[in-house]
Amino acid sequence: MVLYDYELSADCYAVRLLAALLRLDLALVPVAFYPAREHEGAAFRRINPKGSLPALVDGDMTLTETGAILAHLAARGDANGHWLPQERLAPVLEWLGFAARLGASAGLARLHDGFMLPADIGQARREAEACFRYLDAHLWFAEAAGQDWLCPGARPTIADIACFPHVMLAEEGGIERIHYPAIRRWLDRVRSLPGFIGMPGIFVPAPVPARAGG
Amino acid sequence: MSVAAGIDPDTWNRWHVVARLDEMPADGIRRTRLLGHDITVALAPDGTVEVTRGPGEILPVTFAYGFAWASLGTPSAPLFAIPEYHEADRRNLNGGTFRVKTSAPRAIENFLDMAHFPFVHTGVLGAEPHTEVKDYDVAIAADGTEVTATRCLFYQPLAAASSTGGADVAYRYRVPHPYCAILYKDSPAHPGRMDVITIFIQPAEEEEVIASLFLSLLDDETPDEDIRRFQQHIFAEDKPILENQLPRRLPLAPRAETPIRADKSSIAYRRWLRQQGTSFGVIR
Amino acid sequence: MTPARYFPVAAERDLPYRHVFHARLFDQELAIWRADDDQINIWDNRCRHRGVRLSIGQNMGRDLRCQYHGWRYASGDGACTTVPAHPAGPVPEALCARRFPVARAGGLIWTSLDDRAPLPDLAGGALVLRALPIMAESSRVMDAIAAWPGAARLDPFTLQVDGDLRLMAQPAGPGQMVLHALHLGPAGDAMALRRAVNHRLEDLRRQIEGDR
Repeated sequence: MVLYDYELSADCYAVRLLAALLRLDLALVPVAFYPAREHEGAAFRRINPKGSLPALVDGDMTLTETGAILAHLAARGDANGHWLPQERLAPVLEWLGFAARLGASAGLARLHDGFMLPADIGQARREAEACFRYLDAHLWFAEAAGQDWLCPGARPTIADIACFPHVMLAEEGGIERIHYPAIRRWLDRVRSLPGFIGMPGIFVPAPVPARAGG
Repeated sequence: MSVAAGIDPDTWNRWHVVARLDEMPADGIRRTRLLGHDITVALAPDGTVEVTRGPGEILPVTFAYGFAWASLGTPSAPLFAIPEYHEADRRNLNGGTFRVKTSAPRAIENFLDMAHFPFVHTGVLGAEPHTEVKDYDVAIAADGTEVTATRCLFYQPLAAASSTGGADVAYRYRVPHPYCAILYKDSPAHPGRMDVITIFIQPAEEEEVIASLFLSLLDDETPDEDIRRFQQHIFAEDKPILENQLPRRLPLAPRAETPIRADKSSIAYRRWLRQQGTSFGVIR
Repeated sequence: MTPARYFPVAAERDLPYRHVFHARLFDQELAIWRADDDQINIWDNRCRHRGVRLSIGQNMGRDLRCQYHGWRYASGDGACTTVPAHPAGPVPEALCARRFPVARAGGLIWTSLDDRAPLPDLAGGALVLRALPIMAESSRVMDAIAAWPGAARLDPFTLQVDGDLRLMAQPAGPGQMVLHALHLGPAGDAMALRRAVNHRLEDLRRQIEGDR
């Protein structure tokens, strides 16, 4: 499998993160997203006519929407079906849709603020804050029911991986996380997953001995 | 946050970077901010550049290192020199330009700092347990034009795009402008000569900057995009640190924060800013 | 001049081990964390070195580590114990995190910016409900709730509704506050109660914030 990748892209990172958690080999082909805008050039459009990243090529299949790429990795690399549980497809898909909203709001705000991409920044931040309020309430009530992840169940799913990068990087788009304490705790739980990898802007927690007494 | 009046003469009359000439938009117009003022950089098809603040108010402009530099006042001295730039076997390229929500002096201090390498650039520029910052030398030039740090040494597991292993890397730093800093590193391919990595900061607002990473390297083999990727990787690791540093403006009072011996360059830099009378992006 | 009293800033259940909670009270940012021995620490959210937020640092169990240069501050006295740039030491004398007082009552964590303040008076056994951040001045929120039938003002920052819903303001900063909520007395179906109050407070927030 080949991932057309830009290291600082939140969605590309979601794919790299899931691959790491699944211990799946992924060949990375770097695409110069910024400032060269190679993803919009003629050569890359032969791979993805939409001119967007990420793009995953597996044999004669090319996938270009992040949620679908994550689902494909889970189908290929997760024999136990934990990351994309068949009995909970609809909730997972619901959150993949939500992750796309996060990309279009918080993700866009980040590109505007740091990479100076033109955007309606007020609108992007307003939509992001609305998404975050919804997510914080959801996570608070999940915690109250003894749940740690976006979808009910003992383990994370690709829903968590799809949403994590845009939320974790949101401050780069001028969205404060201080107002979302349940989100902040969930972010820590994702970062504590075995095999977790970071990206520039997302630190990997230093290893610490487990708390005595469990 | 912008300061309409009351910017110190030293800052007002300096050259400040305003545009990367090979990254201008297709229409040749870049609207941006400098010291809290709106300015427009216009690149004509014939290659000439005009920088204006308000209709008809043309600002002084100069060109260096592939960038346009402008002043809101009247510079009395040329821009600092980087002699290496003109060497025939150099590759000169821009690593990337990013906007960061912090002050220019905070970004400069971060560029000068080594102690953060194992914690912020883990596995690339530093790694635990090699956290010690050994003593080094700093000086403010007698004519007050720049601050230098020399005899700097730090263990790095992977020091540049072309490296394959860890080594103690020697370098020195030069700050020839309150908002520009230069790092000189041993060239792996050309012993005895140095690679040059710089940060040029456009002070858009007191607490928001546009930072460009300019490189002048002796590496013949690594493709441009690999070098850019490395520089962007490093910069993007520093960004959340800078954007979570309070206050955003750099406090110049000696007791405002707690420096340690490793912070010699930042102590000298802050003292130099006080001497220059710098008022923008600092808390005096 | 902030009032000399304690304010709620978090719930006990907001502070799992190995986490750093981020709060704001009268524009003072706070890093709040539970050590492995259950000691709660409430500190100025800035490393003493170069002012990087401790809330992006790491709770190591017995100390908090700053993300910038790895400086470590011990739970309890907040003393800086490690400066990795100079492993042989010594650590600068008297260098420690700026601490705020900690009070625990009613399942909430309270602090004061004025340590001469009297402690909160709250019996145990309350059901802690979801706290809601609202982008408005505390006074505006308190006034809106005071107009509810069955609402009684206990003090400028505390209201009781229908005898069993206690609402407490945490003035975070200009134009922002956090509304804490406790259900006093028997709860019955706790989850249903949590959801019902959350709906009510979110409705209140929409009404106050209007079209943002």
